[in-house]
Amino acid sequence: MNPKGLALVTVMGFILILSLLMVPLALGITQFTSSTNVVANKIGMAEARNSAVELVRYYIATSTTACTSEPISGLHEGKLAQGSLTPTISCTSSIPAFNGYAYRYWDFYVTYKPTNAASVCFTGSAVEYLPVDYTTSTVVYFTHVEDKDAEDEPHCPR
Amino acid sequence: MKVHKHIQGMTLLEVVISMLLLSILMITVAFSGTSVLLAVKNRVDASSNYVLAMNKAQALVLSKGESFANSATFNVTNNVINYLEAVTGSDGFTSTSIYFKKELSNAGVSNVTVAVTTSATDPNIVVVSLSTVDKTGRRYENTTILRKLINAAPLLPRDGLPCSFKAPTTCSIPLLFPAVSFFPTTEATSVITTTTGSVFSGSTFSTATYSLTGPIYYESWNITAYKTLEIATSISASLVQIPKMKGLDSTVSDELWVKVE
Repeated sequence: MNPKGLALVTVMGFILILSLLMVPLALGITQFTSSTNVVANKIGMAEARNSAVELVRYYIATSTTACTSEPISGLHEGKLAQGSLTPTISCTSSIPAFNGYAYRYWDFYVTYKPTNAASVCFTGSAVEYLPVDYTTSTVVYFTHVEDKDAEDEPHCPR
Repeated sequence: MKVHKHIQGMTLLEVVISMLLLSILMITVAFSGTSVLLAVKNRVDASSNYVLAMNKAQALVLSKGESFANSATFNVTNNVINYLEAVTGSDGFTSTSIYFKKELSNAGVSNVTVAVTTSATDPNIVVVSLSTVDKTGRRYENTTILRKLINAAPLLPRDGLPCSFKAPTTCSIPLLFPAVSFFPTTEATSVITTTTGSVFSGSTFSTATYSLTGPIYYESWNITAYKTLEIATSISASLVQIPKMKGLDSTVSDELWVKVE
């Protein structure tokens, strides 16, 4: 056999053995990556849900518009590292006080657009307590929170 | 010419020695390279058993986050979370438990140990700690936090007061979330189900009596909560005082004066 050919075959055989060793290694790393992505998405979703509630709390507490059931959209987006939050709130009913409101009842819709997955809509309801003396802060009680597919919920901001 | 041959002979010897040394080096490189790769492969293979199991366990815990976020109240007993999920369109609550150990076992990751604790600083947080140890003693640990987002405060319903209060009335108001007690409680009486307050009519304040009625007993919590607030007035009223009430998760609804329409 030509010595040069023998050397080539030896080198190729060595590379083949190394490649075979690398295959399970590559598969393992791929599994890790996909598994870690699943967990990261779920953590991102949990953080987004918590942030959405706090964002809605802020917009409800600072809302000065009359309670008309009309959705209040065009609110500033919340930016997160894993995506964005677009809120819409609507005051659906109220209980009057001597002057103004005692309670205002709100529904909210927050579209969460992750950077690498389908959009999710966080929906729910909240009750805002407006103090009689106007000196203490309003209190927002969340009474329901739910995750929905953004495509299935027409009220969710697009 | 002789000199040239001598040089050629020495060169040949040098080439042979060089080839020998090179072959030893190549064999060493081949064996050490293979052993390094095998070590990495073994670590990855072992990790896939443990890291992937931990990831799966963490994903499973996080998947419970949505329903737990919507819970009115919860407790943790023997690493089991019992909670009341607020469900719209039903009686108000669905009693649910999360047995992480069983769920992990069903998911094929029974080698992961779960410890569930409540936070010392935030009563709305549950900390789920996951851990497992591989054959070599290497420990894999992870922690997931579940957060309750809703406040189970006893609030008036969206429809407001169901009575006109045009005459002395006993008015029953279904609460949005059940109340455990009026607030504040005293050391002697931790649960107050009857109290007094005021109503206003024209220019007159009058005393009204408030009662919590419609008891529901939650066995897992050993708590009785009340679905209805009853207000008894002796005169007509245009403004009604609603007292502070404590909910299932200890959220207190603020006192308010409601205009009767």
